[in-house]
Amino acid sequence: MSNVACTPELRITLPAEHTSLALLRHVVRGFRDAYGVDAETMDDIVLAVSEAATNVVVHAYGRRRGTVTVVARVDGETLHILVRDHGSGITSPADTPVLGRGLALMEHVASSLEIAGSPAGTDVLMTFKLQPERTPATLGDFGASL
Amino acid sequence: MIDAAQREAAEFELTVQVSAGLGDARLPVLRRAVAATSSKAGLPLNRIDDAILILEALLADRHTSQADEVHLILTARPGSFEMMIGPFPGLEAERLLLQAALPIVGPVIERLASCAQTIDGGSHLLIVVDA
Repeated sequence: MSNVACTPELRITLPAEHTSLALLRHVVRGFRDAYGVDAETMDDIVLAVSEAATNVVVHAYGRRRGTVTVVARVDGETLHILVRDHGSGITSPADTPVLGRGLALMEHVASSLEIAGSPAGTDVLMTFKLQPERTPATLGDFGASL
Repeated sequence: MIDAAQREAAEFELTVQVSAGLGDARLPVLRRAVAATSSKAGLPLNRIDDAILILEALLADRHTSQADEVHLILTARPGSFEMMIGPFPGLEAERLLLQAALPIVGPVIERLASCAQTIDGGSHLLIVVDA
């Protein structure tokens, strides 16, 4: 399984249920508050984490109860996010088209995507470049000379 | 007669384990975790704010503000939100319970919490905020 940092900035474990997803998205948006990440990048991060967590909720445990853990670490201008479950491992995207689309979406918005599965669970590791928020326009940008 | 939806609501319980390292995101992510979980408990806005103030007082303390990692277990039940923080060495949990304060506001736990106590032999602090 992947290894993310000795002391990550965030480690959160929730029940692998649909009702956890909104809470998870809300917490991950804290990285925008902390690092002034621009809105578009933050939306991509939240979308990818939500897709990965949704895959856990829908596919990882079958009828069993389980958890989804998200670990996040910032390294310079890069945010690493690991989404981990202890379910039954990866199902072939060919068998579950929805899962396949989710992975394609994550691959599209993340700088990198790595997936490791085993009968003990699945790790999805994504990285994102943290683009700082653009500075607000000033009067000078409009040619003002006051 | 209680229907299935009411029974399900009455039995609802959500437990969230969240840890934050010593970085810029500590306060924002923990604040959001407390807000979202207490919201799931059905707390009104003023009590969600109280829960966040308690968290901020705990994180502002000299011990927790320098800790490499802060561990919380948040539990939402209908009308009640629990926040367990720890483990702490020695009598730190007891000291936090008595001394955690915010600038200007002062000690907040006993004023805002419905119940606060040390548990697990004094290693953890358990704070309850009811609706």
